[in-house]
Amino acid sequence: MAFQPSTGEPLGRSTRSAAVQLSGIHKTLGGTPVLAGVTMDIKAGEFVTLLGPSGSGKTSTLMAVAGFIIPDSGKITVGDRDVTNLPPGRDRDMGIVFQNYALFPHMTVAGNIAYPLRVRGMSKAHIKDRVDRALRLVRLEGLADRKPARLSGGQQQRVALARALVFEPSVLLMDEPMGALDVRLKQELKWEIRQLQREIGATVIYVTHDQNEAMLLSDRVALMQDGRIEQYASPEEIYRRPTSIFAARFLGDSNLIAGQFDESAGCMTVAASGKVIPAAWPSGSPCHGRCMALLRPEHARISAATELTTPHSPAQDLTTMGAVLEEAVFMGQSMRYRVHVPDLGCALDVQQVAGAGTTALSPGRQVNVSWDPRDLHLITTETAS
Amino acid sequence: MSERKDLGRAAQSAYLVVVLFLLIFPLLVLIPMSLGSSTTIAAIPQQWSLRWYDEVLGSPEWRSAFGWSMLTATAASIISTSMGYLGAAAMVRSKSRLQPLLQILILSPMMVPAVVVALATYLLSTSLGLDGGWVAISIGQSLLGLPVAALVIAASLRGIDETLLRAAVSLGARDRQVFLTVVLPMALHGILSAFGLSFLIAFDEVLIAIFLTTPSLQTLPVRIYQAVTYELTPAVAVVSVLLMAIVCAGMIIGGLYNWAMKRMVPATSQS
Repeated sequence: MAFQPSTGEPLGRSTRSAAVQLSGIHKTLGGTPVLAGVTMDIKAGEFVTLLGPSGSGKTSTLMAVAGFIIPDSGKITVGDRDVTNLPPGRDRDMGIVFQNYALFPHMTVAGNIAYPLRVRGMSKAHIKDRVDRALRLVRLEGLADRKPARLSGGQQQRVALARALVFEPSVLLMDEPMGALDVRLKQELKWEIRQLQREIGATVIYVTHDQNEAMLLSDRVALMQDGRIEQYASPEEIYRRPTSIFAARFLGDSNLIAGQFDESAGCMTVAASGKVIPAAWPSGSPCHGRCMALLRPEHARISAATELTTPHSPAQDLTTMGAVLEEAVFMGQSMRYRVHVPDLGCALDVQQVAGAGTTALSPGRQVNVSWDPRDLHLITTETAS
Repeated sequence: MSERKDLGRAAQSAYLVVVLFLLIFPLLVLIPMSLGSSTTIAAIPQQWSLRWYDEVLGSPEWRSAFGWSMLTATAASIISTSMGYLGAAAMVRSKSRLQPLLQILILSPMMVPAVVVALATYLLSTSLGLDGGWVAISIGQSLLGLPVAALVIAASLRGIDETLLRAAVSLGARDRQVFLTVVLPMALHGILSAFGLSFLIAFDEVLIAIFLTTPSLQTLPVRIYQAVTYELTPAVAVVSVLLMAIVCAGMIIGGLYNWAMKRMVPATSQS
């Protein structure tokens, strides 16, 4: 599944990669703002994903970097060059993999890959050498003379990738390159793209609406909504410490409990029930009263109510509440429960590894639900509402 | 049940044969007419001969008329195709608000009666002091081919996904290279069709040619028209048969080309 290390001088590593910086990019198209102040910096050799629902401005951001959208205001630099108003194409020095690959139907695989070299007037021998290496890199050696129409979706995608890489651009842009592929193929290609990027060392900006893709591929994820970046951090950071309700909901599954944070007591009053539960404000973020507590389903545990009598070790310091089991679904690698918790005035989703020793719990049963207060992540809603 | 179906099908076929025969019969009659030996035309000549073929092929008037027609039609179709390409590109890619207006403008020679186009060309060329001549005829005839060429090329340009052009630009192609390496090869079929159609339109165009004709410059259709009015010998039948033969040959070549293209590029993309 992995890319074979290419023999001879590799396409990779020698590739120059450049840092990309966007600051305050605004763009209005047909009266509607599509980009409302996008600011981000991407380090040389970094893999950054623009993640968001459709219409959030991720493709527009990519097209602005590519030069197909000229921003109304703001600045884009690549390395130390200001490229904001540079026309798209050769001077931008970027490879782009388009959503539907945009392979030239009248050229063979080799012809497509050779294209960027041919328009640069490179000699035939040089082109052949580079195309051969690119074909090896994406493992399509045998298909050089095929027309794109006679390739599978995954093969077309690899041709598009090879074509975007063969001229060794300093930045690689990818616009939902796996949007048209089926799930199995996606899974396989994700690993390939990740390894290829590591191998080549190019700066990559990748657009997707698939959170799994973003998680697996990226060094950092820029979560976008309504033409701006909601949060820009590593996938782990966004997952563990989302700074907005949107971020909490978009990446992973979430339970959100509305409440009021009491700074002096270090606890939170649940809005629906008035119950006070221990919670800590994430360090480094401004402290506000009204908040949402995020509890990931896999951080909550449930047990049969009878097990309450066996005291937990105090060192663990878990928050435990009585609940009623509403649903239990077998998901393969885990069990998925939905429990109603009267003390919170809402239902929680709980995900738990389903080992052989797990007690079978049936709906309607009284259970206990518990979690480590450190897994409760608070998000301020003071400014949002 | 199936018998009735068969009967229906047979009736359909018979109908088709009759219609085709009625359409083609007048053309076929020309063949025996061209093979007579007397100076008068007869559907079934009393004596068969190739005399008039000799006569026509050896006649300087007919040969020069054919030559002029080839010249004006070639020039006209070059103008129609190149102008048609530009018009088509504007029709397909322009985002201007004047775009619908442009479309009407390009298609207008199709809607204006040909006599008007002919008269306009004539008056303009005399006022410019051109006094007919092949250049004026070509320009006038190119107007008639222009809308057809534009429509045919527009159809083939619409088939080119705009992301392909973006891809080419992003891969480093300059505008001229995008045109030569992506647009032209992908639209070639349409451009060739446009060229062929506007050539045919110009080749058998009579009105403009009559208006702009000079004693020394007669296109083939004008020559035929005059031959019919003044002499009416089997020569006109011979010319018609020769033209039909040329057209048939052209169609066969075109068909072979299409067939070869389809074999080279089997079934278009699945996506």
